[in-house]
Amino acid sequence: MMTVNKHILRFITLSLIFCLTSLGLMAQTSFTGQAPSTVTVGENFRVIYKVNADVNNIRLPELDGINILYGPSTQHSTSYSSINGKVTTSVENSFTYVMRIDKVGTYNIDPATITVEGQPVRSNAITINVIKDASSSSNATQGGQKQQSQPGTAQSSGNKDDIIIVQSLNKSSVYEGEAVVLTIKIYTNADLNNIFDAKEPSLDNFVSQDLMEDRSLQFQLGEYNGRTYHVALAGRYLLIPQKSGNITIDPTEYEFGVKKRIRNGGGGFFSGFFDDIQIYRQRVASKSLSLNVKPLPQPRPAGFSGGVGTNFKFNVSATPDQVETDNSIQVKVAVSGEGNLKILSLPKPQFHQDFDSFDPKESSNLKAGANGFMGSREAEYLIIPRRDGDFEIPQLSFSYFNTEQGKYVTLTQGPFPIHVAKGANSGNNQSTQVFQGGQREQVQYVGKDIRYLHTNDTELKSKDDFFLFSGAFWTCIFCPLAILIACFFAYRKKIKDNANMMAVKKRRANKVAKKRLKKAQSFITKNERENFFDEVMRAMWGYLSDKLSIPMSELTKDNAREKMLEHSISEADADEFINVLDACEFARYAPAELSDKMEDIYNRAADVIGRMEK
Amino acid sequence: MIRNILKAIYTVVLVLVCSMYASAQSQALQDSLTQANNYAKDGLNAQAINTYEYILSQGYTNASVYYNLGYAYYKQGNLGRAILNMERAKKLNPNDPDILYNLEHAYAMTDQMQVVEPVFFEAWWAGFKNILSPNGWAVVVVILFILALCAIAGFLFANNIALRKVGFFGAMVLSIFCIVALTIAINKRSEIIDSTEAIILSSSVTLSTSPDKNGSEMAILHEGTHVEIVSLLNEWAEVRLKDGNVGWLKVADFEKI
Repeated sequence: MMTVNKHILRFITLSLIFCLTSLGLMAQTSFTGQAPSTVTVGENFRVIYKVNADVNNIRLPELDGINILYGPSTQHSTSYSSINGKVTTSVENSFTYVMRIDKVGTYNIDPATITVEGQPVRSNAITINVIKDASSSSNATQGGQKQQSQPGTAQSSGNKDDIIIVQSLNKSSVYEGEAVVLTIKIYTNADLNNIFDAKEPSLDNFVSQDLMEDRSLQFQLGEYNGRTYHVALAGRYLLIPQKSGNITIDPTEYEFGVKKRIRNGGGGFFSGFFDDIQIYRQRVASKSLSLNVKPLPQPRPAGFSGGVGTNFKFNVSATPDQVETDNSIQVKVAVSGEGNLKILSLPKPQFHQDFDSFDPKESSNLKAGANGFMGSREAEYLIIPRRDGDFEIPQLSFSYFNTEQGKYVTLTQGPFPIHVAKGANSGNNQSTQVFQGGQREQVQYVGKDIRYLHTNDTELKSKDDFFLFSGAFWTCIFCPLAILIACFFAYRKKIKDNANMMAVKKRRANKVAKKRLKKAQSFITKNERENFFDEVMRAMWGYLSDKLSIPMSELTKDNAREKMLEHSISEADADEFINVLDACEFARYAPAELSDKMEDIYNRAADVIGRMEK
Repeated sequence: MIRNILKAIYTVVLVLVCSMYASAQSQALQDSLTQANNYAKDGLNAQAINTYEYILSQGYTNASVYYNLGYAYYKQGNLGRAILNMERAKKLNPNDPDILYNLEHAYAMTDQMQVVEPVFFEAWWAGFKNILSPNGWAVVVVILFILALCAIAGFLFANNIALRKVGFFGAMVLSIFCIVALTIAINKRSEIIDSTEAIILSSSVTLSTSPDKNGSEMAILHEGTHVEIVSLLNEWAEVRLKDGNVGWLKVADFEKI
């Protein structure tokens, strides 16, 4: 199609040039006006007149219904070129107007006029089609227009400035984690040569996957906003939003090299062959897009690990379920479906501590599509039971958010009972392990929490119930104190009474002694020696006991003297007292001739008691 | 050994005291306590909290009530009140390993600050005071008093000089111990009746440099932070943090332990 068009255009151009050159007139002066063929109501557009002569007296025709907002702004450029030794000078003046049309319709701008060397020169007439403001991504191209063209190109293909980049999403509102496809298309009627610079949006808030295998631009005819363009797919990305909220996707910007055919000034019959093809740069940006990302509803189920999508399947297997110790068991955890499979995390099974487990081997078989990643992911755990017994791999649950149903779906597998029999060598291994010491593992704490309730029923007490200063407290203080005080007084009284008794005894000591001595005297007359000495000794000991307030049992001949001295009895008296006692003892067992007379003893005893009494 | 004997005596005294005060009301509350414990066991934290708070509002308590209430608040995610009640339980039962563990666990989730290490004898003295509960110390006072009386009796009534000497010095030493124990018991009692320690309950409060709105911000404190009340001024309280800094807080933002 395009090539046919080009051929026709080239033919027309050639024939036109042929006519002009054959006329031989005005070949030197070209004066052209350029304006977009279609604009929208209220849109600012530029009308540029170019002339290859040094003039500045442009006159516009009457413009009906067209507002000139600005202009003319003039640009003057002179260029020298040397082609095959022939130096040519070309001068270019351009007059730019910014205009606006406020009503729908077709507007004609009659030729403008300038005067070159006294001759008026007219430009071409311009037709502008004004349409209603449609959805308008075509506006985006306006900013990027920049031209540096040579004269004589008015005839080149119509809307050469029309390069439009359109970004689109297949959904405008998705859940966090739900896949959405971003498509970038280029609509153009210009002859694109190459791309100098491409700036695609930074997809920071997404996990993105390029869905295009072939990045080269393949143009086809297509329609956009009711007009026909050449369309090429420039990019297709699978996006999985990673946060909620309104996410803006920045514009895509391209800098194209646009091919433009330029006639050599003089032209000639074969000028078509010698036309220069110039490439100028044009920068075009698309509009930015915004995507509404809804957060996943709360609360999230316990086994939720980020999965969002549809038709998820969850499969866990443990094989074999009967092994001997030290033989391996394979546990496979697999999730398949369509959604953000690539980024969700697979549920991790908990293994008993007596199992050695290794890091899982993960594999995935995923294909990116319009609804996210399709396929399956699998984690394969290898566990080795070290002890025999019946174990269980606990139930494993996997929750995902089903975007079709708009709710969470929980899939569960297991639990898997595992019977471990004692292996052939395990008995020996066990005992050696124990003695190797280092083999014993330290207890692993998986999760720490506060300690559990005190569940035994305890007696409640009043809040103000303190033992200190309570009735019971004072009772405990005062009862023993009272007992002690009572004891003290009782003790004092007893001491007092004892003291009284001794005083009486002391007073009576002399009397008793005298009485005893009198009795002894009676034995003298009867000449009963033994009884006499007994009686004297008894009298003396009794006297001493009463006198010193010492019980008879505690008195001996050994301590008597000491005790007497303690009770302030003179040493002479004490000695005499002891001597009398010794004499009595001796006389009692000795023959009568050897011992003192009974009268002497009696007198001495009476004397010493009498002296001590003073 | 001696602790066990003390505990036994303490228990006997407690049982005596409790049986003395046993009444129809306390029996009803006892049933409520069983109910509350069952709620807590079943994970019905809100009901458990209500019932425990009701028991407390009736003026009855013990360490387990505070402990379980703190547990329920913790499980409900109310860290401030969990710590507050655990601290109250600790006051009644300073050596319970569960209480100490849970407090440490809960404090680990609050603002961390550089704790000013107390001088060694202060720490030693605080630790010594915590060997027994307030009532435990009161029992110790009684026991020391009785022992001192026995020593005095020995001094008064013994015939033997050595025994009397032992009695005399024993009575002196025991009296001093008794006075020390009495001081601690009074001190611990006043700590419970009018505590100077408090726990921040608002989730985030501003520690201010002065007791008015114009004071500049010193720090932002969060739920569960332990503060010591230095003085009160209208609706403001001057508090000291564990790191030694002093600032002002609104009284409504914390609760005394």
